[in-house]
Amino acid sequence: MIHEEPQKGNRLEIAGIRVSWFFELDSDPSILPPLVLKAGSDITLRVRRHSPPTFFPKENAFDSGQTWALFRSRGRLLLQNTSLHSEFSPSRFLFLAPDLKSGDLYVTDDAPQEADPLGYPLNQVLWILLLSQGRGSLFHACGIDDDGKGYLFLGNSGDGKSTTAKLWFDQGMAVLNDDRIIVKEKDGKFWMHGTPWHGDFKVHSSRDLPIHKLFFLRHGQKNSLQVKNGAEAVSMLLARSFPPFWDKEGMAFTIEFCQRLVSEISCYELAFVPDAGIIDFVRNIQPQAQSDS
Amino acid sequence: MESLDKVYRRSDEIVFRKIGEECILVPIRQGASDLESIYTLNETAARIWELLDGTATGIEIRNKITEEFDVAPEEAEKDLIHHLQELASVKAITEE
Repeated sequence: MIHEEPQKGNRLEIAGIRVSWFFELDSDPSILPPLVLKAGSDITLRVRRHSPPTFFPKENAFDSGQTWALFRSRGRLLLQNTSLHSEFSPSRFLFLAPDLKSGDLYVTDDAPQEADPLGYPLNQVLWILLLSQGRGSLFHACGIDDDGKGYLFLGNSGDGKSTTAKLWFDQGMAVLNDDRIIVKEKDGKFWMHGTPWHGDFKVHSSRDLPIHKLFFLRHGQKNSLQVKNGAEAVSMLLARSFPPFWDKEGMAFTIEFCQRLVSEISCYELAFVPDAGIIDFVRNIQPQAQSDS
Repeated sequence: MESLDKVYRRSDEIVFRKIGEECILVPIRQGASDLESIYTLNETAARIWELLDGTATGIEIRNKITEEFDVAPEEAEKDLIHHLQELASVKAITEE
């Protein structure tokens, strides 16, 4: 039975995806009563501040090699905040229902107390799972709001996302995030959404706006541009995304989503010199730019 | 060396999608060690991929490629063996 008190609730919303949680205190760890879903939330989590019950036999679904691992256990997913190769023991365990509408989060006593009980990286991995259910995708990208024009600059580490963020920020433009951007489709348009995760550039915005142009960043000797489309552009997008590599259905959706994205938005490989000249260069791109310019 | 007498099938551990005349392959993985492996097949390789349905022998696939792409049988065979070797090396196909 779930009582209204002494539960304390809260909610986290990123890119329009809402996760609600409540704490269940003084409960017997071996008992899991039915969980009441919170209205208006995509997923409701019941948080218990103790170690999880003994695991059922589980199958390794994915190991990040560093900060998290995912298992399948009797139809449910289990996410923990360490890799199997880590020297540290996990302190957060998230059991997810097959439909991802509910879950049980166990937080051990030695876990740091945070406003968001999931903590990083479990919150980011949960969003990856929820996005892959047909909602969108998370990208390794910097998002810029240029007075209502959304520019999405994608790149892996060292490609210049944080440098790009600072250049535009110094010109008074808003930076959604310099490392993690969620893209979703709404009303026939692709929207980019800021996230609170990661990044070197600390001034982030949670706003969202339609994507006007999309760039694959790299450093260059001069500013230059090359149009990318078709399978090449999809492949470049996937290589800069955080897809559910362990899940066939989710992976198929992500590829199809990337294909629709590159078919709707102009995509370019952008080599750039790290100075303010890149801003006018990007603003002045002509719609039919086809090759190095 | 892959044999054209054998029948090959696409692995269930590969997610693929045709994009224009090309095809993208992404292996399902259990670890982060090989995250760079996203493969793009050109038009001929994409058609070979389609034909690897577990029913046609390599020789039958070579004959179809010869017909559809206006290419000499020797060249089609050489390309097919090359593609089969590459696909086998990333465990994208299995032998029936």
